[in-house]
Amino acid sequence: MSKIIEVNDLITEYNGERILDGVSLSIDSGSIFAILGGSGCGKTTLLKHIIGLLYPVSGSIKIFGRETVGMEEKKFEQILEKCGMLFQEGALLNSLSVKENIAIPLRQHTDLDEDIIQRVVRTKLHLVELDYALNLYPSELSGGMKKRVAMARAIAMDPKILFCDEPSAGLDPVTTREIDNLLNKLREQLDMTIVAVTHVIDSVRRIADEIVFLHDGQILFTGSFEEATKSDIPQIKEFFQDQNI
Amino acid sequence: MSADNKSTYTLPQSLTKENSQKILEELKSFLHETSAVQINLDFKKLENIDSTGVAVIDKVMDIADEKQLKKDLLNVNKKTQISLDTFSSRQLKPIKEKQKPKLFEFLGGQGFEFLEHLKSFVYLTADIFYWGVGGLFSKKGQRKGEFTNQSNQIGVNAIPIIALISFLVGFILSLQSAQQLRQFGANIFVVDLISISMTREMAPLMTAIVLAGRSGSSIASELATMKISEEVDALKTMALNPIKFVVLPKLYAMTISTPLLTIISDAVGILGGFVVGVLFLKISPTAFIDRMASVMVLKDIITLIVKSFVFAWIITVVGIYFGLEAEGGAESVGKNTTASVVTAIFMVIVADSILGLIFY
Repeated sequence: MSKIIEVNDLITEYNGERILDGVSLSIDSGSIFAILGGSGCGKTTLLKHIIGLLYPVSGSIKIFGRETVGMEEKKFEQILEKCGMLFQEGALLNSLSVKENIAIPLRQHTDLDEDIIQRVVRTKLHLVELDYALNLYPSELSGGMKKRVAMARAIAMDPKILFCDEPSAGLDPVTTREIDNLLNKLREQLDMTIVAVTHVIDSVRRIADEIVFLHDGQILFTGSFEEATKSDIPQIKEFFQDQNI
Repeated sequence: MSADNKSTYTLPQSLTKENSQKILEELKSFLHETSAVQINLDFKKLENIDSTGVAVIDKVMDIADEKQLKKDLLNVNKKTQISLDTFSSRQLKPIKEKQKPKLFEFLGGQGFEFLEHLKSFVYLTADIFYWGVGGLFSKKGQRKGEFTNQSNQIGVNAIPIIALISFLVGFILSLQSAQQLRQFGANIFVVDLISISMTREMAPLMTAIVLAGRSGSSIASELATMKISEEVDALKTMALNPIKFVVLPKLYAMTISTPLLTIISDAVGILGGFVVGVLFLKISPTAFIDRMASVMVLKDIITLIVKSFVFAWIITVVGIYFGLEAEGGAESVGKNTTASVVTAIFMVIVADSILGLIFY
């Protein structure tokens, strides 16, 4: 399996404090990769570096085999067109309706007919089981619904890589399972690579092919979920014990 | 390709968002030109299809249905079939669009909405003044030190900009009128003009407009953000009255700061006129001051004070109202802040006209 994302010796600081300290990882194409760790360990920071929202002090990030650190903005945008991002709080544009939110990337990055765009919007909304929300506005949606609409927007362009920041946070168990099933379906049917930052262990168990465990900005463990549960590393043992694993 | 009254279109190797539009155009032409009663889409070459590709296939199928053509998909492999099943929009039920109201429905709706707003505004105003008076006698439920903080933000921090604007207004007003007065040898009357117009009209109005843009918008945006992030609800659940906890310090600070800022504005505006009078019209400083003292009456000062209080309350209540009316997300904060500034300035000018008539 080829590597779709490679991070090497990534170092980042904030106000003189080291947030990521020599992080290295590689992600197989078509896999679901989970980044685990306690609050404040640098999970979201790592994700934001990979998608170019933050800039590292040093280190290398390769997506589709191309170095993105220091890459020209226009070239990086071409890479981003093949990626989707689900933000923790959804990050929907409040002034636009649900269908307009999902249609944004399709309208901006393709020359498709409006009819085709609307068909794609409907199918993506159907995938997240929110057909009836088509004409609603984000302010009319619950937190879980917002997240599912954000998921529909993130997959609107059929991205090769889908980044998810806490896809299950704040969702009820049924919706969490539905989101997990959707992620599995996207991986299996569309060969999508999914990188998810999470601390919901049930989700990780259901979807992740590989996990990394971050602690104080360093990777303590890389491997499968089962291997992680058997790890002797104290921080990982404590993490799983606290979640009754 | 056409055979036995069937027409077949062979799809390319890839049907994705990169080439979907081009293939759609080709397929539309194919459907337009064909005289066959059945069309076939051959998938034998197709290796890669995404959701836009599936949408194109759906669209073609719909057009074929409209034309009452028979249709068939040939050589669909398992992977493609999964994509077709996953992304097809043909099995989805149509969603009803929101119906737009007709003219009279729209006008009626707007009318009712306006009455609702008016009712809420009156209730809120009554609430603010009820707690405002009560808050003078009981400090319970109010934030300690917040009045000083708000007075600093609304009053002290606004002094430089209000002083600068007022000086320039006084300067320009005197300069423009000096040109005319000089022709009649009536230079001294520039003192009457500047001292009365600044005191009765320009100082209260300029101060109110600056405060509406500066403090009114700040009050509205702060409260709107608090409302949409559920901070107002949080206060209520802690058995704290949001009016007493958040609004009263702002109301008191505005009530104290606005008259003081208006007096500063008046003084600096007249100073602007003084500079023009002394430098351009050669009026001696003593003559300017003597004339000013003789033309100004107590009623002018009372007008200034009354106007400044009224304007302060208008700006505060309007800011609070639009802040607490915010719903939804960030867009609502922006909209309500803008609405608060526009409404406050409009209401200040209306009140100015009414007070102008009263104190004529």
